[in-house]
Amino acid sequence: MISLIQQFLIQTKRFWRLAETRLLFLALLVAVVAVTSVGFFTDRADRVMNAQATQLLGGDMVIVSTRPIDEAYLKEAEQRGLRTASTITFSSMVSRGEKFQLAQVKAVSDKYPLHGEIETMAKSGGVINITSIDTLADNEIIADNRLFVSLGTTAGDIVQLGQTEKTLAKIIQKMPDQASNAFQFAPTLIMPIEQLPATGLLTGASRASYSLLFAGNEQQVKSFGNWLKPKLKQNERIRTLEDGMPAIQQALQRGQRFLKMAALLAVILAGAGIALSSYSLTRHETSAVAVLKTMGASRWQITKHYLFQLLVVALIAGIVGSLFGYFIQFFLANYLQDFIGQELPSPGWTPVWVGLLTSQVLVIGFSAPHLFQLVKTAPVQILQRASTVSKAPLLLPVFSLTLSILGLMWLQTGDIKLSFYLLVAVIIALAVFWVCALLMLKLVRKIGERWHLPKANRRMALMVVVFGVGLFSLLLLTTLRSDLIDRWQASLPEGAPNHFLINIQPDEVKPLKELLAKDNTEAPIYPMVRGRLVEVNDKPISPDDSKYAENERAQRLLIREFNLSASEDMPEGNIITAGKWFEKDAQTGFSMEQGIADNLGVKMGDKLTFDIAGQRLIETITSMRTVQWDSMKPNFFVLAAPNAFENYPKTFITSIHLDKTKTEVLPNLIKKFPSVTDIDISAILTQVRDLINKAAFAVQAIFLFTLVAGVVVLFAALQSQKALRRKELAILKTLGANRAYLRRNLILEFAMIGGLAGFLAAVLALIAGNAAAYQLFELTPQINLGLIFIGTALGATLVSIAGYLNVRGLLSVVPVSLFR
Amino acid sequence: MPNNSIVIESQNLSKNLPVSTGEKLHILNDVSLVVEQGESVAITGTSGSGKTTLLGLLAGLDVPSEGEVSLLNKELTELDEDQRAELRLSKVGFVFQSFHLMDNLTALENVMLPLELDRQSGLKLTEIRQRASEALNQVGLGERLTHLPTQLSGGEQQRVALARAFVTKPLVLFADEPTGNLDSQTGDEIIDLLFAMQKESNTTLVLVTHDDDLAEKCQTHYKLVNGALAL
Ligand SMILES: Nc1ncnc2c1ncn2[C@@H]1O[C@H](COP(=O)(O)OP(=O)(O)OP(=O)(O)O)[C@@H](O)[C@H]1O
Ligand SMILES: [Mg+2]
Repeated sequence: MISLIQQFLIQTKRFWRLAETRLLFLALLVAVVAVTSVGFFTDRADRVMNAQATQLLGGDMVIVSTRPIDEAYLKEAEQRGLRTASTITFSSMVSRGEKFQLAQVKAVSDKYPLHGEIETMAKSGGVINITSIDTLADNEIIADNRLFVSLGTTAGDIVQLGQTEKTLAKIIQKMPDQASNAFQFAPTLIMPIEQLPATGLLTGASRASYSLLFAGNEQQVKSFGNWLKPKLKQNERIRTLEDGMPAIQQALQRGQRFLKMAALLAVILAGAGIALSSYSLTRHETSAVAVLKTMGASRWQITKHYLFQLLVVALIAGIVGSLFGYFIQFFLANYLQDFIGQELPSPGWTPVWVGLLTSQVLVIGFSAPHLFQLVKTAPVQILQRASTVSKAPLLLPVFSLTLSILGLMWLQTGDIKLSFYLLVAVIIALAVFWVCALLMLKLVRKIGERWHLPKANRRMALMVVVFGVGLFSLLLLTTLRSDLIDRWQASLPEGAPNHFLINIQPDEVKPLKELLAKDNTEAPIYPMVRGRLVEVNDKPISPDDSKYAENERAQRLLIREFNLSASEDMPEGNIITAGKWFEKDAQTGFSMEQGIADNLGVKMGDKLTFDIAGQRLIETITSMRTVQWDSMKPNFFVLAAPNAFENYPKTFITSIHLDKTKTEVLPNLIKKFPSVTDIDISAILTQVRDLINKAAFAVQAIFLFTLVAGVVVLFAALQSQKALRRKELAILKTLGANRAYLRRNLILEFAMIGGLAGFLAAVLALIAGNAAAYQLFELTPQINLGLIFIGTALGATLVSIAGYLNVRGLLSVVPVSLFR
Repeated sequence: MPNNSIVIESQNLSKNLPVSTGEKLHILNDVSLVVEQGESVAITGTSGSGKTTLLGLLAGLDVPSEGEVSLLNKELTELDEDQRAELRLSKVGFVFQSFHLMDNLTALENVMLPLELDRQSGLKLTEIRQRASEALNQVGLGERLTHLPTQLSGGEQQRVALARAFVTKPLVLFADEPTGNLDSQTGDEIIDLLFAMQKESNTTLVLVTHDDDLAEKCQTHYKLVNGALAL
């Protein structure tokens, strides 16, 4: 008996000798490499981001509420072996002598924070230490430097907090949850939670945010979450990791999704290559199957044989591809390393499974319909002159292809709805391509007769569509990428503000303006008052209202205070979506940001009441705006009429661009205006710009895979037509055509196919690219004739070279042997 | 046991094909014949007379429209495709006009194929290889074991096909114009080889040809005219 391993080795070796098998393998390899290299990288980046997010959150899971939270949760969590902490956050005045400052008070339990650390210093610019809450002595509290500055204290001074006196022990340099508070301008103060009752600050009427933090291993957290969810009361919410993620990480996540889509494109293109190679494999093997049947092979035996071979090829491609992907991922990760800013965890196994699954799905979905056709071959065919492939029913392949493409999309995006949209897009694109290709070929045939061009036929239509789609995706990616970069760069010009100045006192506005004008860094200075939205149309509004039960963002907005401002001119980058901007010297009205209005469920003409340090400001909404949040300039949800805040206590804020070379500007400014606080955002800016450049590179790398996949498809298409071409050439030769003539004809035919495909691809990419750029970024459409020229030339050149290489061998065969 | 010596028997075998006009094209009409063990039978006729069609029916590669065929004492019309295939396994061999070797397999691998297919034989791989190279030796290609079909001439390819057909020591061999693609001298060599191997293994031979000289070398000679036997 022949052992299974022997059989495996023998058959695989024989199968490998088929050119179609090798093409199939190549296509699978490209798909797997694309998927795994992106997969390995995003997997690592994901894990690092989750780790960072848990630090920002302060725990693995956090419950927040506007009411004290049931202690039973803590007990249960501790029984389950989770670590816990609790915090209560509210606003309160802190005073020292005559000076008062509103602070964000955070009363925390001993173990806070569960992830990350509180870094402190004894004096501004001093040595940084890590402070844990239980090391604080009785009556000691810590706060960030802004509180020290505005109260004029140094570490160790006594301040008044509610009914108690506290020692301001240390300056907070860094703490978890800081990022989400970057624009929370009240300085943060941290105190041990046991000291809270004595202050008498928290009464039933106070608005405060209560939270419980939990940390443990993934399994513990998950099962605790399952226990917890049904018990949560109406005002209790679980905060997720996404809430803890700052914008830059969200951007990175979006970048990852883009990478995955690019890989998906390579996979679908490779799928076309696989379908084509399986098609030619089937044609090639038809007579072999008939012969095997005459020898007594059963249908099942034949099915098993080919299925096994295909799966083995897919398995090998999966393993080899994963290896390649693993190494490519290292380059990608190395390149993006400093940007991610943290040591990446070592790659996990998931991408390997995804890679193996991808190649199996591809081979089954794209080859199986052909295989079923092949197995059906009647043995009697072998006696007839020309063995024909039996006509395939259309339903099975269409069903199988659709299902497997959908599956692959799902595997990549993890989003079934998105996958459906993508699938529909792909189908529409194919239909459009097919129709356009047929129309163009008809046109070319008309013109071609005069010029003695090679006859345009259906075979060419297939090539035009297949290669056109490949080229289309490349060109579309290129245009979109440059659009993306243009757009990002336009939104972050060289002179974009890189410093925020806050806490500017009213009497400092004029001298500061003058100073900035001297340095050529003038920028609008906005007043800022903090107010809490308390009524809409005279009806009280609260975060506990049932209409906000599912709307965490609205709840948070209502717990915290709004930063209100007033301005004569509409801030740059804002766009009015409803109503009108304030008249000059207007005294009344609010202009509200559209998104926040939608969130809170308020509309044009509604009357809003803000509580501003005890005073009530009541105005109606007279306009709605959209705001460009990433402009790095002060942006406000609610703007009041220019002179609305004349009689309110307020500070001012501005953002300026400070040249790196002018190092003396900032220290001078701080010396002159000691209460002004500077927030340096240049680090964030460089990070964002870095992200753009590196993301562009990463996309280009993946874009290379689509290029390779396109070439594989091209070869597969040529291979599928080789037998037919062989016969044609033989006939032409017997009719007296010489080699030079045949060569000219072949190259001309390929150039025509490539040129048509390239032209079509470029035109459609231009349309699609403009549509996408308009939809996504509101860029005005551009007609880039260069793209059409490049597309046509690229298509003609690539197909000519690949085509000639593929059929060159046929030219030198003597005609008589072609008849065998 | 007279019944045992009958290898192929057909009764009133007919084959029709529907044509686009809705009528039927009659390819074979009422063909009845008997072939005994070890007998050599020639089927001749003009082109289009139905020789290949008849061969396909007798070998169970195709199913008749009417009538019955039995091969090796099995009624073919009662078997499905796989059962008919199983019947051929190691017991029926074929030689075709256009050779039909697998072009991704070497000469040796082509000859090994029918033995590999027969799982019941229980042969080890080394035995299969041994028997296949012996068969190739017999047709004079002992030196060309590792060559692919594209590296062999037409005559050599047909020798490989002969080796492949005889390697299982089949009870019946069907050959459809085995010399049709060869020059007359090479064709004669192939025919001599074919008859020699047939005699040696006492194989029943059904040979389709339009060469009357060749047909005379067979013990029995059927002529087909317009799909019917003319004796
Ligand atoms: N699948 C088919 N469809 C239509 N007609 C067929 C088919 N198979 C065979 N025929 C017709 O049946 C007739 C007999 O064909 P067959 O191949 O048996 O002839 P043949 O005697 O082997 O001829 P040749 O000597 O040329 O090989 C021919 O007229 C052929 O056209
Ligand atoms: Mg014939």
